[in-house]
Amino acid sequence: MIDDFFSAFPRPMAVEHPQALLEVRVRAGKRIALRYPQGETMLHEALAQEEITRLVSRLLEHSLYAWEDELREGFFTLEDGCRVGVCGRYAVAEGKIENLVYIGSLCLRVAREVRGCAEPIRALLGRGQGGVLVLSPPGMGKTTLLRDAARLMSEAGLNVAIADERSEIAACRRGVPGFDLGERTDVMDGCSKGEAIARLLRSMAPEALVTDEVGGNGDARALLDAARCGVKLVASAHAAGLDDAKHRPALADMLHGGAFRHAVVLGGRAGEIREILPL
Amino acid sequence: MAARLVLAVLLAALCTLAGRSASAALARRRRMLYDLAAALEPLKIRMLHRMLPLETALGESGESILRLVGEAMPGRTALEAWEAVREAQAGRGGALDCLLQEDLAALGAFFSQLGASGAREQEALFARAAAELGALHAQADRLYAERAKLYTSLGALLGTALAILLV
Repeated sequence: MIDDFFSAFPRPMAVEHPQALLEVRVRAGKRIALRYPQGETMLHEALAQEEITRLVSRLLEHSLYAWEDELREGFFTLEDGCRVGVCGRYAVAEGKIENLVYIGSLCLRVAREVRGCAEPIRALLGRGQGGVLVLSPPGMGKTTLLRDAARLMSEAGLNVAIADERSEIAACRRGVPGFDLGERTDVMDGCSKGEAIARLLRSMAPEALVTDEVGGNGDARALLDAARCGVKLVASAHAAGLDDAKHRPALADMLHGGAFRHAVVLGGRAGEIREILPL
Repeated sequence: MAARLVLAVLLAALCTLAGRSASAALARRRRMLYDLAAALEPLKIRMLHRMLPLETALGESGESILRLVGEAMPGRTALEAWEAVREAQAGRGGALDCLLQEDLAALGAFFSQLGASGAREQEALFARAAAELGALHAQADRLYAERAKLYTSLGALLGTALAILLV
């Protein structure tokens, strides 16, 4: 919860309406920035770099070894599904990122359950309706929409499987989802999409598969395999719109391969559905 | 005369007990260092293979000191938790009262780095701690073999001598 995030700070912060926050940015020596639906506010407080390092250590339960892989990717996910992006100095060896050496800034994106936000696309989520690809730039509510879509499909009687590589969709704690994803939903948490999808297909007999931020060739192969098995796909990807998505090779492969029947483009305000396009 | 006799018996008993207490402390130190060294590998597995958070990994230990540090961790680093446990348990009658300063220093060095770095550094930390605790246990084992019986016997002899002098 957002309160747990602020309780890890070295001193109390005067944050108004924390439950309405969308994003918190902490930069070493600079004022802390808070983003709300109506705009941005800057606190008068700033954290020094050492304080940010200690903050991260507390958020990671003083167990840096357990989050090494995520930190190498530039983020870690808190228990409640909030993703914290980290920026700073990385050690690189032979062209490969080894580890994060110094942290200069953080960006917390607040994860929320918005029940009903997928109602406008309920008709696309039924059996026999084909796959749905949700597209938008970062921070527009794709994951929130996927979460509610999984719940709606589960309530409609489908066995839903979620490949939750970054633990953001389900916010699992020791394998148990923290968000309400419906009674018929199984989650494979924390492993790569390709591995998760292969295992889910083999062992959980899903009728629908939900996953977030597809974009690599490995993702495309796994999702096309699932589509060929007759599994309905609901996935998201970073793209400004459908034309933008078609220029990304892995997404183009999925679109041409028939993995999706509709594209849902978000834009404007967070969670706002700009257009629904048949594919 | 009767009072002297009673006093003599009491003195003899006290000295014998003191000797046995010193001997028992050597045994406890030897046992504790052995248990701590043996608990390192399972702790490493819980941390670096099962990827458990440090507090949970310590809390699941079969060794009591590691468990106490895990219980003291919420809101603290491993070192801060260790220092809280040390303060509470190093005094007379506490769980750590049998340990010497060098033992406590070795544990402090271990906890100061525990959880604070990546897997490779943690592997190296565990290797160093295992070597250090192993060496301390070997020393404790030697001291126990050399001195345990001696302390018990000395205590009994001193007590007997004092009793004879009194009587």
